[in-house]
Amino acid sequence: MNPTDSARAYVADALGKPIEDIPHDAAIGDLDGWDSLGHMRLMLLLEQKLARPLAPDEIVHIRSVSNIADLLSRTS
Amino acid sequence: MSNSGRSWKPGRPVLLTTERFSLESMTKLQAARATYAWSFDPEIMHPLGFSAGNWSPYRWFKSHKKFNNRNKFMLAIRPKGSRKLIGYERCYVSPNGIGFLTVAIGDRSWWGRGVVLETRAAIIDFLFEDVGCQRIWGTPTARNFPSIYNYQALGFTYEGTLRRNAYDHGRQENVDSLMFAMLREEWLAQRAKKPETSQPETETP
Repeated sequence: MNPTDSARAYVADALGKPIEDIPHDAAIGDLDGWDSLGHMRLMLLLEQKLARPLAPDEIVHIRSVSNIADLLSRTS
Repeated sequence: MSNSGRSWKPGRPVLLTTERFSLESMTKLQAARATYAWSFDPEIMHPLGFSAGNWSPYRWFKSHKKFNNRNKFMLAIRPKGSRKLIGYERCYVSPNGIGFLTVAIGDRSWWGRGVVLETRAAIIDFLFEDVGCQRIWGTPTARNFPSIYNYQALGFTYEGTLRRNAYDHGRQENVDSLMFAMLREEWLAQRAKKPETSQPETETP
């Protein structure tokens, strides 16, 4: 799975939606269900995947599927 | 500070309304009474930088500042048509027009339902347009993901990290805080693209 699809899969998992419902350009504020609790679940899922706490700079830059894909690319 | 000429006057209680909620000034005593039960909930208290479960009613009351509705505001959040308190928005404004925000949603049944996005937009409108603020900011801890989401979704700019700035009572260690800020012109530009959601009113004390 490429980083973008992996990112979509994490967002889908955190929001309890099928991956088909997560557009490649989904971002905070424009995807139904990506709310404050969904965002918290997403961050905790990413920390689980990376097996480490996210750094503050990473936390503030996770605002879209594309940002998550970048993070996964850098850390894989 | 300027006043936009709408109905609120400094020192008078504030009443804002949004699509689903009303935000209404509380006194120090009203705030302490209404929120005391929340002081036992670590999931509410720890993100605010407070311990949980060890507050006497007197200490809880003393921990609150006096809200004067001039530069210190504590607004109760209630669903429209109900007197039930589900949270509060609090703001302190410095003499040069810088507003500092904090918020708590104490009623768990409202978590994840967009309360802060809706109510904070109303208080930001009020602070910029009526109180005359030039800048509004907040400093959630780096582990407070819901709060970070709310600042970002409202278009606040991340301005930096305050390293080990706040004590986390859950982790029992100092943690980083993140600075998010919004300037008046940034908010007005954003608002120009979106429909109005708040309607300030003044309530007679």
